Amino acid sequence: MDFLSPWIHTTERCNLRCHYCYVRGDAVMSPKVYGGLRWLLTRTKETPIHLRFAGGEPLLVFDMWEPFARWMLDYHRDVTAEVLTNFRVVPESFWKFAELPRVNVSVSIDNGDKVKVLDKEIVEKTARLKNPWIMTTITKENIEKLDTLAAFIGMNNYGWCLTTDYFEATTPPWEELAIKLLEVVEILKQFNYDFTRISFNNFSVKSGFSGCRAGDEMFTVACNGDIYKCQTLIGKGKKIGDVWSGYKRTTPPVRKLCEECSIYGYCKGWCPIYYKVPHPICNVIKLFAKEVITEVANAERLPMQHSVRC
Amino acid sequence: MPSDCQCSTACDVRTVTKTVTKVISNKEATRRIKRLEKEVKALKDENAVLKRRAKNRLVNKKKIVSDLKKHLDRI
Repeated sequence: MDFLSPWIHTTERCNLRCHYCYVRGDAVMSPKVYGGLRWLLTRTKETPIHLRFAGGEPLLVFDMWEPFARWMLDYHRDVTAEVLTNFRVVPESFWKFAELPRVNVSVSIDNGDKVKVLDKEIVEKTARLKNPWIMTTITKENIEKLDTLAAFIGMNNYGWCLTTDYFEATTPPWEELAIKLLEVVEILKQFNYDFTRISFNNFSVKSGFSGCRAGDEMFTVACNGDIYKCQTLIGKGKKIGDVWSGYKRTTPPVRKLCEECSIYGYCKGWCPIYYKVPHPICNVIKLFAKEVITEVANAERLPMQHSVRC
Repeated sequence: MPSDCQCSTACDVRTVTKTVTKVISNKEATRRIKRLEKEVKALKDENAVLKRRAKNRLVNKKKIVSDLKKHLDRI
């Protein structure tokens, strides 16, 4: 095993109500669960450990998880932390935490009409962060305004994680999605964007990009301490363990069709739980991949003839 | 916050996982890239709108930047 990465479901509470969000409820992870998780992570010899603090909105309960996060960061130099936030409500004490060397903040910005809008407030807050990543869910609601967001990303050379929603309830038709993504690439080119910093549905040329490893190196800790393969399965799917006794690991299967695909090695097959191949979105990924690989090759960051290891 | 799947970006996870165990040779990588180019061309040929839009993808940087500024001023 190369790493461990728990998705820590700090709370089900959120200050936003996004139309595509699957999280319901009001639960908050208790100190007892953080204690159990600490025990679980420190008895393993595997490093690095990449902690992902998510929810709900994790900054609503920052005071609850900060002591655990700081303890883990002090525990081992190969522990890193990532906070996945909509960044609308930021406690003053968080800014200091965000400056720690092994802490990254990923900010959700969709630039929809109502959802996770790109406004001056979010622009200014994001600018205060060191090396933030932007996470965007592409839906029918925000697809038209994606180019404005692309200009913002390009201008700042932010890392950008683009996805469609897991359940495809709000995903635009693949042709529309492809056209928009090709436009996005053109916009980013104008800013000499570093295309190793972009991903779309688990396609990326970034070195070390793992794809989803749900149930193996990656697992989700629910507010009550139960462990699931994936955060979308909390309360629905079968739990695979808990923080007090560990979890039963399974390796996500490599799909035969993916193995034969022309972008096998770059694309990690999107979501192993919900995404079934072949799928029309594969067309979008290929169109996007061709542009990104060419751009990266042109920038001499990735020669066309190279070893693809994944 | 979901469904932004940040499962995979794992910014500082340096090591590469065992999703795929074998290493594709340079020759194989080149062959796959060529195949990708053919597949992309075929997709564009099959889809007139996609083809047209792909051809006319001229972007005016000044306009984009001014649109972004207007957008931010508006909100």
